Amino acid sequence: LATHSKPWRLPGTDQTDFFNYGFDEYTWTQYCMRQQDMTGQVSQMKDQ
Amino acid sequence: ECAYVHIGPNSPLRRKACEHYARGFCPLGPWCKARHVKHKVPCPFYLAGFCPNGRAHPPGPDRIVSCEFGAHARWIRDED
Repeated sequence: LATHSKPWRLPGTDQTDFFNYGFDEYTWTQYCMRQQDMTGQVSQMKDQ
Repeated sequence: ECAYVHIGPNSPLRRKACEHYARGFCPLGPWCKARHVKHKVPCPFYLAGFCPNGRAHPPGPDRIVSCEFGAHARWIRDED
């Protein structure tokens, strides 16, 4: 996969071809981190 | 005139929806063979954890439900 060449950074590319829901590169990574935090917290709460 | 919708055999509407794009991001972008079903905004309630409109509307071709507040972006545990 072309994750390391980051083709969505090229000028003239439509960000929405790569990112859905109005995400961009930065908000998408933030979202991923938050989802991982959430699943961690939820599993902790289930253990209690 | 036929009352049904006619979709040609090579129409992009016949391609199946990209599951990576439905998750939020597809690294193939415009070169992806699957169809990228675009949603404008994620539903803030679903994003926070719960939206009561989950079953109020039928899901789209990418199996993502969209309520009046936005799309219910389903999170699938990382495969990347």
